Amino acid sequence: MKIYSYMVKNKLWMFAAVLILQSFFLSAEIFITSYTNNIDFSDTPSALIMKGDNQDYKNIDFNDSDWNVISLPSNWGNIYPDYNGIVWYRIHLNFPKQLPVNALGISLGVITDTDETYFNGVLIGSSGTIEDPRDAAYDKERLYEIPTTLIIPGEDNVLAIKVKGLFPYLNGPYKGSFEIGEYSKLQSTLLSVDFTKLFFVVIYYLVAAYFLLFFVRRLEEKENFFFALFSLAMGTYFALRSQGKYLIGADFFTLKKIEYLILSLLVPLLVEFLLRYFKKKHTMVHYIYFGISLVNFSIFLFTNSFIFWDTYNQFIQLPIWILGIILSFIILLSNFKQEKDARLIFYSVVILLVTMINDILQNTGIYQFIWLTSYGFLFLVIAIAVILSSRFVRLNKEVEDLNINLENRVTKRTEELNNTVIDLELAKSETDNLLKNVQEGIFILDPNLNIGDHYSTMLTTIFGNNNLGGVNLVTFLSEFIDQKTAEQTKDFLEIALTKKLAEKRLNMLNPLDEIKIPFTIDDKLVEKFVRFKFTRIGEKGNYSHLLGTVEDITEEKLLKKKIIESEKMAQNEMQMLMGILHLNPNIVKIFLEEVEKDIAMVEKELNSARFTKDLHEVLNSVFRSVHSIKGNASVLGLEMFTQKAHKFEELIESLLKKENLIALDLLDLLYSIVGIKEALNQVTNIMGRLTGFHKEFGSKNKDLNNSDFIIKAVTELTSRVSKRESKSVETIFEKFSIPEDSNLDISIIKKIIIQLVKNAVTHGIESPEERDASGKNRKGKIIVSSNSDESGFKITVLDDGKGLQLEALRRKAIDQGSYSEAELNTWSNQKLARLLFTKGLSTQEETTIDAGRGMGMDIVRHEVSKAGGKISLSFIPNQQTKFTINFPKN
Amino acid sequence: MKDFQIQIFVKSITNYFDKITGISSETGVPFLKEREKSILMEYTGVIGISGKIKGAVYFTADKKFLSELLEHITPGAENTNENLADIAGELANTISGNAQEILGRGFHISVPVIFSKSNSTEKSSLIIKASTFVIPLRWKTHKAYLAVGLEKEV
Repeated sequence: MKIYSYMVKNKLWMFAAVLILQSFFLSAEIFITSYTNNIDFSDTPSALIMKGDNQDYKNIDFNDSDWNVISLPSNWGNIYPDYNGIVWYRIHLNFPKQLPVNALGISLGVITDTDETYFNGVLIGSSGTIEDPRDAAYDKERLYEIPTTLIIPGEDNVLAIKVKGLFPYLNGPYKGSFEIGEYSKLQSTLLSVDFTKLFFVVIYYLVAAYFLLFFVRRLEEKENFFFALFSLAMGTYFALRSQGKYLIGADFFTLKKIEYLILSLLVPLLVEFLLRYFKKKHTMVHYIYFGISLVNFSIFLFTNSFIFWDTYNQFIQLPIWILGIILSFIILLSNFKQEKDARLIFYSVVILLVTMINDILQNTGIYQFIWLTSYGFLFLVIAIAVILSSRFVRLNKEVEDLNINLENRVTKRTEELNNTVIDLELAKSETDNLLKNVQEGIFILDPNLNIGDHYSTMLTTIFGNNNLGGVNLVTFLSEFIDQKTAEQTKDFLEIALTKKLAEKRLNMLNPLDEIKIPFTIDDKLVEKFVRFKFTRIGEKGNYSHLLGTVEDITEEKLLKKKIIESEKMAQNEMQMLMGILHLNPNIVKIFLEEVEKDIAMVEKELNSARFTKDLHEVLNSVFRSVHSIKGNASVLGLEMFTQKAHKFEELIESLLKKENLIALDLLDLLYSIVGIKEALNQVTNIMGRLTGFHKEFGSKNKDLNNSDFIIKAVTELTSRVSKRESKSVETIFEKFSIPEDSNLDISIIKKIIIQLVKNAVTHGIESPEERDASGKNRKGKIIVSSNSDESGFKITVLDDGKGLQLEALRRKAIDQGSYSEAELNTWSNQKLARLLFTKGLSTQEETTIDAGRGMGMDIVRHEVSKAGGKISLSFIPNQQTKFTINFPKN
Repeated sequence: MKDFQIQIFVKSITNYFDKITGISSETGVPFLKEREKSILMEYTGVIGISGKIKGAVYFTADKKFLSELLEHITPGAENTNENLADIAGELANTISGNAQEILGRGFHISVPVIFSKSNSTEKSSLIIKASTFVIPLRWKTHKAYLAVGLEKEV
């Protein structure tokens, strides 16, 4: 027996053994030699088979000599094709004399379909219910305990198995292990196989759970969901394929149905997962496939036949699966090159198919090998799980990398920003520096004309105010400028902000080109001039701000003023120069001396007046001197002096006319005096500069003597005055000479002659037209002559003019109110003539430079009497006027 | 300074006399001070002016003038230097007080400085570049001068 069992285990000698051993067994009988080792009786001619049902077949003493001998496992379909009724099997077992200590068991492999197993006629176990087609058991591994009490030791025992078939093509104990041994050992072997299966189930479930959780966390990644379902389905399928399902005592039919349903879902789930994972679009083909799968599913759901299911599975489901696999392959192959994952899954599926083919082939009995399908599936699931996890890891890593990258970028950016801040700070300090040191006040105005917060330091210096931020410019300036200018400024600034004016035009409108601002520096009050300029900032016509600059132009203004003044002075000097140049310097020198004398006279007059009451006398005296100045200046053509003196005269006149004249009123005279003194200084200066020049260019002129001097002066005067009067006059000096030893004051003589000649030109000589009309020579003639003898010195001034106008004199006197008409009517011509010498009487209508004031003759009279002389006049109406002045010898 | 401004100065002095003493004063014919000559009398009060134009206004009077005035203001007071100087100061202050009003903004008026003829510093400080207008004043036969020396207005 030992040899037998050894040889049985060694399948290499199987065939030989069968042949040899068959001869040893007339009737198939298994000899149990030991209780400790399992006896494997598979593939040994150890069973007898009989078609049909007879309860006697279970009996120990039934005669089964005509039964066929077969070896197990076997499919009775090979012997009884298309028969799925009852078939009986009998196995003879020979036990040793000792009874086993531990319980024995027999495993009878997987029997299709249901069975009842008897030992020595006693039912020791059954699987499924023979009568109930629903309660099948066609994939259950049979393991029955042989009760020790039933064993007949040392004799033949019979195990009888009644089997009800199900599938027409496959029935009986067709696969599995056929062993006799200790029940517990056999059981643990069985369970250990199952254990592996359950282990797979656990893995599938874990994977499913993991990815389900995954999905819950990331709902947008639906591939995780479908994969979880796939794994769940796989797990459940394998759970249902295990023997463990028989332990839970659930309904076989229901479980089988679930099995088929799950089977129908597997490939669609895989396809869906692949579509989602590789982000492929669901095409019409896919929808058709899923539709078919749904139909497939429904068929299993709504049908209830094992045979149908089995057949359907083989012939319909399988092609559908293949379709699914093809679709999967398409998905995988389309990404084959780019994605490692696709390749991996592809290979896994291929491996799975190989394992499946292996199992199918094994099933058909072509060869025996390990059942690999479960491993194939596991490999696939693990492969996908790994892919999904590594994707997660990869994504995680990417996120981490991104984070690090982000951190780096943040660091870099912060650095950049810090640098920018430093740059900005630098720039700001530069700008601050600029604003601090720039020499103009610089500020920005917002659209509301408020000064911005940042402005140059100079601005605060100029305005003495360092709180200018936010202050309205116009309001602020109102302190310094008048209302009108303030309004103009407001308008101007508004125009600047809103209108599209050209810069030039805008500048023309600026009212703040120059404004005065009072300053207090070192307790002293000064005034400064500032200039505002405005530049527009922003888009044309829509300016956002104005840039204002303030410049201290006080110096500039002062300079300008100085320039203007010095220009004026230069002009004056020029004028004077022009006036002087043609003159003999001696003449000018004398003139200046005379002016000095005259002005000193004026000052003395005022100086000594003090509290006198006779202010008119003071004024008259002053007038005389001023008139003399004017006369002298006029002779020489010194316009400036002439003008000043003339104005001075006018002032005196107005004072004379003033009612209630008081001493203080004479204050005005002082200004005029100062003016003339200044002019005097100017001319003296020029003279000083010219004298040298003149000397160089040689005046071979000897000093003029007095006569020549007077002649020259008077000649010039004549030409000037006649020109002014638009008359044609000439003055001729006949036998005119001033005695050298004369103690006469030349200036007085000059004054007298000048006045008389002037009078002659202005009053005596007629206009050329008048002269023409009266048949006279157009040119008037004045003859000045002198005579010196023992009695004294005589001067004669004769003109061929219209003579004395007594009537006019009379009229004037009446008009002036000095004398009444009646009174005047009583006067002789002589008396009337004397009116000529009356102060303030002039027949001239208007006062001109040369005449009209009526003071000229009065002065002559005054001068003559001062020199101790006498003046007389004679005239022939319309013919001539003759003045004679006699100076006595002393 | 314009003539009307000087006139206001003068008026302020004469009004002062009128008010304080009840005896009116008289102004004489104004004249230009000769450069080299000094018109300073025994006591003088000077007010400096700066700003738009520079110069000084001063009031000078003799002892008799001031002592009589002193007698009017504080009868029985002694004719001490201090007292007389005080009076001069009073007058100067009057002028000074009016000055700011008369001249307006742009002028800075200094505190009056009083000195008597004995002080040697006077000459230097009072030779002003500008022409000096002098207005003679007479009160109760006593004479004083109000002098205004200012540079030409800018």
